[in-house]
Amino acid sequence: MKVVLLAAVLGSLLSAGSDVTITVQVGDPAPSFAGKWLNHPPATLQDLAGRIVFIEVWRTW
Amino acid sequence: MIVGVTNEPESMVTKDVAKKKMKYPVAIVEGEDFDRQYGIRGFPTSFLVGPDGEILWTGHPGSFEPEMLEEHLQKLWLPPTLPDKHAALNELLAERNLAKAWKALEKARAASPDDADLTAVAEKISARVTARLEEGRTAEQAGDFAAARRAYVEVTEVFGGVPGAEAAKTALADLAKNKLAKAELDAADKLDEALAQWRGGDLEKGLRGIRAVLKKHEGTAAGKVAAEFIDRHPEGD
Repeated sequence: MKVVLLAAVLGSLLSAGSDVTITVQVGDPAPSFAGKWLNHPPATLQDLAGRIVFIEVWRTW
Repeated sequence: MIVGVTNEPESMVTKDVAKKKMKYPVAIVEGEDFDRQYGIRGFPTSFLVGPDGEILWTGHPGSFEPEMLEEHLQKLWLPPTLPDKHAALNELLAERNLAKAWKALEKARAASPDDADLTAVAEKISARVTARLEEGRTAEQAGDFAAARRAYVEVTEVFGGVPGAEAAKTALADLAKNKLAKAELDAADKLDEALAQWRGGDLEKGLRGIRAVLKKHEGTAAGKVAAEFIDRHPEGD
């Protein structure tokens, strides 16, 4: 049990060290993203500079 | 523009988009990077992104008030459009290729000097050049050299060839000679570089760069922006 717990803690420490997580807030630059597009030619968010973009994040379910 | 974002399998998304007759652009992103960077905790979630890429608002799409757009819309300059018979010119205008559009516009005006639409569009473009140059000068006087440079660069790059636009080149050369402006712009460049890395997904490197700006360029406008950023994300979160 202890070993498992230790492994879990170590694992989370290791991943925390190599993986900075930042959650964007108002005032931050919006991280760019690329993807496969429907109803639009290929683009990154940075390609859309000059426009106001309303991003809606959804799932089909 | 409105953009939908999901990371579900393409076949599933395509089916849903067809079923709900969605006509707006949908980006299918891969993996968890998007959700991680944007800190997505539930669905749907939305973000309003300004023309310069800044997050202006975030929340549930249902709680978005269109009035929030107004002040930001006023800052945007949308190229004017002409009646359909000038389709080729409209295309250049829509691409914001003003240098080319201006040449074509001059040609069209020479061929039909009485076309009031053409004259009106030429006046709107000239007015934008004058206004942007003025914004640059005002920013310069206020010590916001990065904003001044942005204005001058836009005039040079987007409106090159439009009468009056050459003043921006002179203004840029003057900025380069100004010691105070140079220190501010160096800091702004370093910050832009770090933010670009951060935006591009290299959070660690980006964050290091932002911290470096805070340390090495204290007292500059960019240093202040860097400090605000670190304040918002004290633990790198």
